[in-house]
Amino acid sequence: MSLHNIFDTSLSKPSITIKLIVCFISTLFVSPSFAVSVTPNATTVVAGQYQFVSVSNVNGSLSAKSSNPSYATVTKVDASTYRIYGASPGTAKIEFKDKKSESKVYITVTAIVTNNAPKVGSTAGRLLASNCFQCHGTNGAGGFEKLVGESSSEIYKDLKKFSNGSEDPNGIMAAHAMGFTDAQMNLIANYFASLR
Amino acid sequence: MKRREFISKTSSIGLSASGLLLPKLAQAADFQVVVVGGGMSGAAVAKYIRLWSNKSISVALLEKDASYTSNIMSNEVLTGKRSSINTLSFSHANLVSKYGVNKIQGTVIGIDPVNKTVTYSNASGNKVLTYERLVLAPGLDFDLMPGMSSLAEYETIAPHAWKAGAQTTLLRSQLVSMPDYQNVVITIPLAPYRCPPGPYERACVIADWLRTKKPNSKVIVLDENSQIQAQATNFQNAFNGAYGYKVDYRPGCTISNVHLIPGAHTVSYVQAGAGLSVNAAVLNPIPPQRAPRLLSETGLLNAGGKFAPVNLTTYESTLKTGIHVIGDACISGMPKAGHIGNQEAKTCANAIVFALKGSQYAAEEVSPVLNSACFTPVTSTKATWLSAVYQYSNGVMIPSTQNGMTQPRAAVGASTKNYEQMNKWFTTLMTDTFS
Repeated sequence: MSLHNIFDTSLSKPSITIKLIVCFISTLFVSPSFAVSVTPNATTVVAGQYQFVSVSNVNGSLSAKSSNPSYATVTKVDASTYRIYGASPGTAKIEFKDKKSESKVYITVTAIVTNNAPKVGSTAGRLLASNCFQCHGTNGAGGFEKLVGESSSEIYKDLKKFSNGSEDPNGIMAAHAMGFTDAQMNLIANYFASLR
Repeated sequence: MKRREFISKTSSIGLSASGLLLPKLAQAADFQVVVVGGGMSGAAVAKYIRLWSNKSISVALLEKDASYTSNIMSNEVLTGKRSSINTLSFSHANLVSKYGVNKIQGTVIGIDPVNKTVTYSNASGNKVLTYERLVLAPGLDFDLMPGMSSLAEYETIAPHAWKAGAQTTLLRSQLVSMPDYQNVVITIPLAPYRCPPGPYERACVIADWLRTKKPNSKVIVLDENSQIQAQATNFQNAFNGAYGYKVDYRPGCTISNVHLIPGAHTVSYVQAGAGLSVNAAVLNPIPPQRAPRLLSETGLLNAGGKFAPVNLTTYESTLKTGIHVIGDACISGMPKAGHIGNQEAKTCANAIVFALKGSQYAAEEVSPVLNSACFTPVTSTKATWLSAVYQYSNGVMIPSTQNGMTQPRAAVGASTKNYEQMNKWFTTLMTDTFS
């Protein structure tokens, strides 16, 4: 994580190129009046959400570019404001470049906290999940293993292990799981998680 | 607007799908949903319509019996493993008390799909109920075997016991009374019939029981099908002696005549062009089956058809709007079985809740998946299992081809662990259906 706090500055003056790499949180200002400044210089964005960054000390026009637009994109709002969008979980560097300098902002995009589990009462995946009730009880309350109270990722992980034959391949759960698609297993897992 | 939504919206203001103004324009139906039949499918559809609509859709369950007797596990009554058929009785009381289903005991004698009424009869006389949606889960009627003269013969002389109850008890007593050195004959009709593995399971558990009780008696199976209809490897191994008994299994036998003499029946059949016959002290003919006559009278069957064609995302009849058919009486392309009927019921319930209440209550399922499990005892202590996953594709339910695997899939041989799991499966399935 400390790498994301590095403030990396380089001067475009031909005779002097100073590049400083710092292993821990630290900042080096070479010449504030020449270098474009962006704050914050590192931030975390939840996928599907936005964050603003402020720019100052701009010489001439400023360009902004993401090193990996599939994770984070950048859009100009006005002369001193840019908006970062978290497209999907991952990391990206947004590089701001003016006539004389450049500045990078490190973006970490995190997954939606609820892992796409539907709101309680949602019916997405309900009919699919009801295939499990005959053995695991209505709403997964139990018969064979209780499913309500398990996390979505736990249930999905177990279904995947059954479906790829790595868990009890000759058992009845493998036979069931093998008949479902990944997307269906995901919906089922999310539904049981939404019931807790 | 989708057709279903259109029908429900226009129905609620008194217009039928054909656009005519119904006489009961301003009157709500007696019940929004009337369910006929309180078995595996009927009980489940009544429960799930209530559960998934947050009890906002009114449901009546019309059933002629006081309770349901489970076919699943009834073969264990034949061997004495279960002491009585009464251990397999399931009440509708929880559907009433937990979910507010209105149980009405009576026999349906007429359905009017245009005026949306059901006429039923009981000790108090005849009554009419109006509905918005009708769900039929009536189970099956049984045909006569060639040479038989009356359905009453199944009740008194040669029970099929393919609808559990008094016939199960009769068959059990016949088996107990049968002398050693005498034979049991079971006949299996051409598919489709209720519970594909069932007849083979029955042959196995009876043969297992005869081993110690009447060691010189045999079980002979005359199968009209040319091959074993489910778990062929497991049953073939069982018939060949894998579990200590043998069964004389004869495939491709078309039954030509059944001559009933109590204790000394003769069954004539044709196999590979040859006319043959076999004698039986106990005869258990499993007859050809069809949807009850009420359905053909209501126009729910195609000409010459035996079961009701339905839309497989909603189980609504393709011949009459507003009427759904689930369970053994419909054509689903999947086996006729209790576990499957339970899931068909859920698919139907979801569709009805969506149609009547909209997307806040139910997601419209355009591509349902159905998985099924079925445990089969082959001795008094060991069982196998069968599982199949079906995916919706172009109007039909087909065995899933996901993960490069073929469906259905079966247990590799019988075990006592499977037997224990069978009991837990049965208990949980019945609780999911009736409670």
